[in-house]
Amino acid sequence: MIKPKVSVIIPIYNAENTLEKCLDSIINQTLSDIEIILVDDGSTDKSLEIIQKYEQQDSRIKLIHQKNNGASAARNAGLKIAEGEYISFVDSDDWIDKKMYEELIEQANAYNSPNAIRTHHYSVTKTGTFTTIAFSYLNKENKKAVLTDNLKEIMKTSFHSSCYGLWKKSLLDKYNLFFAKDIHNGSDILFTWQALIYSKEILLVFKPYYYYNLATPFSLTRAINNKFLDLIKVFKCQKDFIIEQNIYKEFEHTYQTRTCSYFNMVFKRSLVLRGLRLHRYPELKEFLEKMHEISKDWNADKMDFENLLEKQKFLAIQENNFIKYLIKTWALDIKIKALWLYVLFPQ
Amino acid sequence: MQNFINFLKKVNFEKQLKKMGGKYKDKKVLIYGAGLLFETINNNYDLSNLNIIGIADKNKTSDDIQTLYGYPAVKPDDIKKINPDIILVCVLNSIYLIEALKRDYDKIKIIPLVDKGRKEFFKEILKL
Repeated sequence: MIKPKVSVIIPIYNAENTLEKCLDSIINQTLSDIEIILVDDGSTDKSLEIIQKYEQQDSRIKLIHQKNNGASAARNAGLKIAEGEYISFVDSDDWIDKKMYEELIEQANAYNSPNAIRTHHYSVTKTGTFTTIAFSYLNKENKKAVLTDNLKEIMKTSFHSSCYGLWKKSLLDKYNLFFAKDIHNGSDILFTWQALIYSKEILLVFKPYYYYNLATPFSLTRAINNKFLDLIKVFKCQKDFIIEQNIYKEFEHTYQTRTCSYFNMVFKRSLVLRGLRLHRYPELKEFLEKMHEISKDWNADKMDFENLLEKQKFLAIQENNFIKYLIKTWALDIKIKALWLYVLFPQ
Repeated sequence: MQNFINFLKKVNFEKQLKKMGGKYKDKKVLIYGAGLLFETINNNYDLSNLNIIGIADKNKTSDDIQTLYGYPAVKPDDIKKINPDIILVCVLNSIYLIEALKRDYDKIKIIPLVDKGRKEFFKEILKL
């Protein structure tokens, strides 16, 4: 039997509101030679009905049911049975561009089947859909895609989700890569970190295909306890991994830059998307304290910061100064800016 | 729609429109937001003294749609290609959207189409 080009793995838990849009974007892919693995993680809503309906209409769909065990276990279950040459992960509240797999496989063929393909993505919020540049690369010749082994640089700013691209199945099998079961939030960050380092060469495609949904209320990113503590665990595991691989010295500053920027992003997003909810603040304070413990002996001058503000935020972390960090984040900055522009000096 | 009509009367939108027509006379204007507010404005006010080169709206533009309310429909991704001088955002609570758009299009002037007044902007900021 010929292997399908791509196996798509979708962990599903109570996603009745967003599931159809997600599945429609996959079954209508312009590349039809794909395998669609839907893993129901013990849903109690109409998700099960929906996926059964789709299964009856499309023979490429395979269903796995499991008792509620988390997205990591669900993705692992999908990986075990996947037969495609490449693996794609899609979350049940997101969706993808209909040409994603066709164009990425085309690029993969042009570049001799690379181990990992990374793309830009769209961030969908209540106020609009914005293209997020997922990695910085000086694309001077304006190419569509570039094969690079300069992981040290690319991984300083490349995005962390395992969904923004494709993974070659043979790479995951060779290193027995799975999602860490004991980490509920952020296991995909660790997976991406390990898989990119194992890949040695990444194909960067300068186009967004994946629509990352920040607008719906009950997405995977939101409905978890101890989210922040899990992320601290992930940061520690990432460091342990590069020590294990004997590349700590080489990747030290990449690791620090990336960890700091991810911390800043999560913190900002927690404030901005949820508004001023007072009960969040003790959790965020603890998150900052734990981050301070990890980063207190990092050298800020050797790390890369997007701008001075990000560097000042990091210095506030090193000082363990919660209030200072809070003031420098987006949520308060935009209020001050808006006050200035729209109220004190209107058009 | 009647609520919007009343609101636009209250903020004296007609006067604002005249002022904008003079201020942005030779500029290429892109409207961002083709929802009910824009429909109301389009039906009740004369936009002809603004040089509108297109309307962008993430929900209402796709490959099949060429025009919106008689103006060229622009997909948000194509805004840079069209190269407007100014983007007028036609949404009631525009602050967050404008600040987010400024990150994508940092060289273009982006302001609200309707000036709802200090008090209303202040209320919006408090809810942010």
